Amino acid sequence: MSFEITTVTDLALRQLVGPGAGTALAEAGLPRPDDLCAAAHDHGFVACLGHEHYLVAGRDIPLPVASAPPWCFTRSDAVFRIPAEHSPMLLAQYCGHDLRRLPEAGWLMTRVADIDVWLRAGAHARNGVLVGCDASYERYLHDALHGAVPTADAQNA
Amino acid sequence: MPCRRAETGPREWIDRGRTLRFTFEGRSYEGHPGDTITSALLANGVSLLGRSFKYHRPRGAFSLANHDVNALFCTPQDTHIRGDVTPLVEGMDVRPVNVRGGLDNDRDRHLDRLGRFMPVGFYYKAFHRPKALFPYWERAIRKRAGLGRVDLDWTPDRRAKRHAHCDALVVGAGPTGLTAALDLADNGCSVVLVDENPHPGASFDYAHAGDETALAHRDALIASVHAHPAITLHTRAVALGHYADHLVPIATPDGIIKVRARGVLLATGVIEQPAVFHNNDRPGVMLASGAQRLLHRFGVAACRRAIMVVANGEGYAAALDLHAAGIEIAAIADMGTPKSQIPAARLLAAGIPVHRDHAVHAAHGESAVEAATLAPVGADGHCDLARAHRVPCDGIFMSVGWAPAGQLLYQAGGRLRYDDTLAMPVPESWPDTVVPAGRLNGVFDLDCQYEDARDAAARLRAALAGEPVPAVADHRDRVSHGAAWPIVAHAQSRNFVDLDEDIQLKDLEQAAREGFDNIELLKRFSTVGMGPSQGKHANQNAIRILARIRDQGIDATGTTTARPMFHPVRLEDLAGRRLRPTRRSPLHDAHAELGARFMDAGAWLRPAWYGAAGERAEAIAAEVRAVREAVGLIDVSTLGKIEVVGPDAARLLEAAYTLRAADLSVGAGRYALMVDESGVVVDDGLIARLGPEHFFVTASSGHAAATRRELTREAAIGAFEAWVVDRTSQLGSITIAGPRSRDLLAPLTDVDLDRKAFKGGIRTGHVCGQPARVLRAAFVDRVGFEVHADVAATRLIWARLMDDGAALGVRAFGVEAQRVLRLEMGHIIVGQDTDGLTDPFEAAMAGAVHFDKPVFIGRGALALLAERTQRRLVAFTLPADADTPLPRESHLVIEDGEIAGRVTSIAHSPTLGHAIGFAMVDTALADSERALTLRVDDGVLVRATRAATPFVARRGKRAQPESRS
Repeated sequence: MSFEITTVTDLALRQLVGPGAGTALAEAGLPRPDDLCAAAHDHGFVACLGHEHYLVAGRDIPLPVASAPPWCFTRSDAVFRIPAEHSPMLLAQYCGHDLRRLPEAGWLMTRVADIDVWLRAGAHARNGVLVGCDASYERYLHDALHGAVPTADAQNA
Repeated sequence: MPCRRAETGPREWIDRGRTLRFTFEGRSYEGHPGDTITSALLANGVSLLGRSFKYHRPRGAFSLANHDVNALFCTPQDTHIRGDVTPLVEGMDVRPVNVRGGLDNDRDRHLDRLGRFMPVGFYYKAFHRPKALFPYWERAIRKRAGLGRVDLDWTPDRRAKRHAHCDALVVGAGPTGLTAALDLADNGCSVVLVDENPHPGASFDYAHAGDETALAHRDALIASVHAHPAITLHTRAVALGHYADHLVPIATPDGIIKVRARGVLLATGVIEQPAVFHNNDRPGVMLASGAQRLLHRFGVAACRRAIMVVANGEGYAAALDLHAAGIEIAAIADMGTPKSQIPAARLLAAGIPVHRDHAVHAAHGESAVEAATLAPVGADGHCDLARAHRVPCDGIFMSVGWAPAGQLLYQAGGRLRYDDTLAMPVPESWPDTVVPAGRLNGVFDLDCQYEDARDAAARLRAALAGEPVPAVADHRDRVSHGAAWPIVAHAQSRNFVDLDEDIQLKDLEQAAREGFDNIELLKRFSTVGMGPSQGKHANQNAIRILARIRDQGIDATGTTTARPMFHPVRLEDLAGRRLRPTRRSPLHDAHAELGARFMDAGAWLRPAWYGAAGERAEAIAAEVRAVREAVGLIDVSTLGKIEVVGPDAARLLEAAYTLRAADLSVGAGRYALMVDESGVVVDDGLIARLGPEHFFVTASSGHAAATRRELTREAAIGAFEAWVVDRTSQLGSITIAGPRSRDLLAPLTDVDLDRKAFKGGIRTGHVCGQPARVLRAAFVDRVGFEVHADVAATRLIWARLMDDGAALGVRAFGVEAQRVLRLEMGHIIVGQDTDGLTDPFEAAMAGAVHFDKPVFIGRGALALLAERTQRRLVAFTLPADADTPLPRESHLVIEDGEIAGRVTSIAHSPTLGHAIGFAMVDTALADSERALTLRVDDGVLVRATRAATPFVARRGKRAQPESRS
């Protein structure tokens, strides 16, 4: 294998939702991205999933508890990192989107290998592309991505 | 007889330095890498390659371009192998199809003599009278039908599909395609260029093989394409069809590439069309371009002495080309080439006689061409036989016209019209981002093709940039490139229009006489164009014939629809990778360690039971007993878990479910039933209140995503300020059930589990030191708890419960035991005991419908259905000593000889020692308390006793009808 896909285990994810979610981000010193976009912060990123609905990635971030608006729930998504230069060819095995157009620090929610995923391009090429999915699909997506590496390698050759 | 030339051609595809060995009909032959099966056989002098579909007539090479299937073969492993385009492989064991006893002595060759008994459409009229004989005919026809045999032990070799994107897809890498691709790439477009041949070049390589200037330009174009960073070239790549938004799947040897382009440039060229004359299907009769392909790509001369029948300059060029290669051109029958296209001086120098306004009236020879009869021909296709003369030859080459390879253009919404000058259809209109060019566009002159390519590329670039598209520059030829009527009548017929289907001229005339005189009807009745070639060599002449019969123009006659795929595609390629998304619970590994036997529950892998493979029944019974007598644990992480939050969360749930939700106090919970607008039960679960604006909703495993979608949709429709957050996989869930469940859980949690303190609803607290929610659960036993925690915590909790529970006799139980346990409790499963029509009143859920709510989904329908129940769920038991096989779900309930219902659930109860079940039966039977009669396999009738639920004895007040899955 000419490149490696790594499983990311240190990306603490939370879902912030409800009235005041945007304000809570600001109070925590986090960016408030536009709809269906993401913005980086020092320890990760924030993605906007809809009206007052955010996915927050990063540890040690002071966010509200889950018992009052806005509500904050932990997420256990499975997350993989693909080297940036290999991600379009690899993901082209499974995804109909033109991922050449995913800019640095870009965000996209789409389907890969017939399951819903989110994609987050790193702010720099060295950060790679993150692929996140429902935790229950972790093994499936892991096997699918790794299984496609030889084909992507061959096409790159 | 065909043979391999000694001289090496300048751009041959074969490697004469290496040899491949193969067998055909058991005889050994040699070929070279780069050969196809057809070229290798012809190089060895084998001209008889197949037998036709209906009449089993001898057939040979025809187009060498995958536009016919005369050369169709099989191997022990595979069938439907198209010899013209399939590479020869060392050790290949090639066999003919559609023969009995070998090609030469095919036992069915005598069918040709019985042709008068097999007119067009005879199978619609014959064989069904007398009716008693039809099974005999059916068996006989089935035995002979088909081309080749499928190896049922075949192991599929799936080839993965992948996606690709580009600004411009260029289909065809001939003069036009190469030029257009470079123009597009030089101007900033990312280009994917595809060609179905193994090498780029297309008509450069056979039609211009003697033109040094053209070949030098070809080489330069190809080198530039290879070197260009913005062009991706795929050879042996077939564009299968054009779909919406310029999705064009490309079949390659490595699998299908789904190309999504912003625009498409079609340089797909033209398909040479045959002349129709007596015995025009004999081995040795070929398209002129086929003979040129054979010569220049594979170094094989198709024959030694040829007659040519032509109607265009291409035919004359081919004649001189083949003559230069050493094939004697005995004569040219010219059906009407414009004089300006005839190289008279060169023909004179070559000593090739030309017969103007002549046609080939007949080919002669039994299994191969031995001679041709040439005769003057009129515009009506009738020959003056008084002036006919016979010419010995072993090959007849035809160049009488072209049809555009316009299938993709049609599919993209383009339209074509018949051009009388060119004697072929040409594009008339097309979308701005799907542009035809080159010979497809009626441009035959090579220099004009380059110009047309550049103009087409410019138009496409403008369209992609959103700029005004320049007007079409007309580079089309002004001279004819084909005969308007290349069809010669013959008293003995056997003048074939469609080689695939053995359709003769008289067949189409007969079909029209019988009333099938519309092109669509003609196609379907006669099957013209319906064979493996899909009309590539047949449709144009068929339309001409019908137009003449109807005395109308070609355009007025119309054409049939060109549908994908352009060429056949292997099922392995269409299947691609097997994507079967599978979901695992956070406790999956723990189950595996416990010896779980997993089952598919939708996309989830769930433990069915735990134990050795051959001990299913015993293991399930033991699990059931453990729950009834001690305590059991089941992983229910697959349950839908949805947080509904926001100021309007209560209003949303009031609207979405049949029961009240807004009046729940914090910590309380209630059974939740969801129906659709027609009142049909779609899901059930629990609604629990965690805060003033916070609810926790559970849904069945199989309907979780749909329930979330429905809640989200309802929130949008009602403009509710509420958010629906799916946490199905974010939380793990464990059910602890059985009389000792409280004993197991209480020491591990700070939640008060006292039965008076916690009768129902939800509590938040800690379990094993982990934040968790605890719910009362009574689905499988009257004492039970459900614990929800994040995935890491769930693993810890499960391990601790198993450890601490060992002393109490804890046992993990799976889905099979769960189904038995809930049945013993008298609880239904939505989707098993209900179907696509079941309303709550039929499923004993009337109490779950709160009509005091003014508005909720399905209320209107339910109000009507409440008074019109036509069937109801009833419970039954079978005697312990029943000696009949256990009935199964969907076995019918019979009453007075009529169907009165069906079994929905049934299982042997380890607790009770006999079978129990539910059946959905007609109301009259349900109300009567009569025993049920179940019809099992082979019509055996089994008597079942009506019963009340729950089946197992229980203490205390009966709970709400509860169901969970």
